[in-house]
Amino acid sequence: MMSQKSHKPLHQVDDHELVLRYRRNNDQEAFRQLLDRHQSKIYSYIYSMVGNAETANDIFQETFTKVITKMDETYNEQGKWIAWVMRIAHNATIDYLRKKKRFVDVNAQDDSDYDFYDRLTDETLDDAQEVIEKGEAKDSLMKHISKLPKEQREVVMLRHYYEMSFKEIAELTNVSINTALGRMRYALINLRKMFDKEHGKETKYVERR
Amino acid sequence: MEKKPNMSNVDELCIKYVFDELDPSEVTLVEQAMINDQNLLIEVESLKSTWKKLRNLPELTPPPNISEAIMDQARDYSSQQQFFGNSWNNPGLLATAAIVLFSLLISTAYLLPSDVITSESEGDQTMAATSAQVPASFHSKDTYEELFRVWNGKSNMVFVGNEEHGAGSAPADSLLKESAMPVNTETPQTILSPVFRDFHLTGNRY
Repeated sequence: MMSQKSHKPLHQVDDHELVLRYRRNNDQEAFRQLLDRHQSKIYSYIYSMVGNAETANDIFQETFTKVITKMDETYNEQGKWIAWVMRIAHNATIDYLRKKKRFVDVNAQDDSDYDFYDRLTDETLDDAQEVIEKGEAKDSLMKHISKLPKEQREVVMLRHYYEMSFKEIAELTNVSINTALGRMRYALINLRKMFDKEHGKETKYVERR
Repeated sequence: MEKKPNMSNVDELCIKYVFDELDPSEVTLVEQAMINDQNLLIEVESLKSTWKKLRNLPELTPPPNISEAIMDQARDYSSQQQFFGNSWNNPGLLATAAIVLFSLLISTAYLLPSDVITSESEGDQTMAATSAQVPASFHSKDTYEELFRVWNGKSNMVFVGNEEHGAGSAPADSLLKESAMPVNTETPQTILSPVFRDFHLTGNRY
């Protein structure tokens, strides 16, 4: 069975097997395959959360530094490798946002209403948006996403890029499943409003209660 | 009376419905509720279409130099781990290390002069120790020559003794008992010494 697996082209080998090859045989091509396979999603998630290419590069590299050096100590081969990497990326991103929040929002009175993107200077946002518009983004989706509150944004991104279940998102972000579901609901409602505004439509959101 | 389905957590159920995370019984429940509440139907459809738009979210790739830097780091780390982590489990590497160490010791032994290995001072100290055990009355050269004569026997053995009383004579015995140092070869007490052996006459039972 092993010999059959080993004859597969690398792009057909699953993550688990690639991780085994890298860890046990020092197979660099296996690691490259893992990186190639997941780097876009990880990078996009980080980028969407921080809204800045340079910072996203730093966090992305920091994430993989931890992946490389901590794999033997903290990665359990029974679990999904990408979920483990995603947790590292998420924690690194949240750490950055917290530090940034402390730095930018020294005089904040009430943290509960705080939103990171509301406190960023217009220049920072403009830069992030400029990169997106000039780069690979073909529409204004990322711009809208960047305007969502951090908690809503992370639920949307974790679901979109990693197809995480709400249970997994709840575990990763240390909230209840209902909170994660509620955040997704409000994120979609807010985005809907932004799309409507962008297209000059009047938002007629139905109030059920 | 018809039993009303439990829709107290309708918001969460709607989101789960949109993301296809409901079990079949819950799906039936939500669909039934949408039939009965048009506003709920509109909300669910709105959520679905918004999520559909997000499928077009771009996937950004990190700059190639960042990816390459990560690959370099992975390569370097693996090399370090392999060398330091597995060297004790690698018999070939251990054998090589042992051979190198042994060769180093041997070459050092040949390169060093013999008097460094067994120093003269060390030999002097041995002799001094032997002399110290000889009674003071025998320290003069005349006394030695009076009591002892050294001759070569028929069997090519060296004898020390008194011409008149022979090797087992009382003066010689008393002297040698006190000296208590048999004739033997002295092997210098160093691990580098096996190739060099100095012969010291330090005493005799005869």
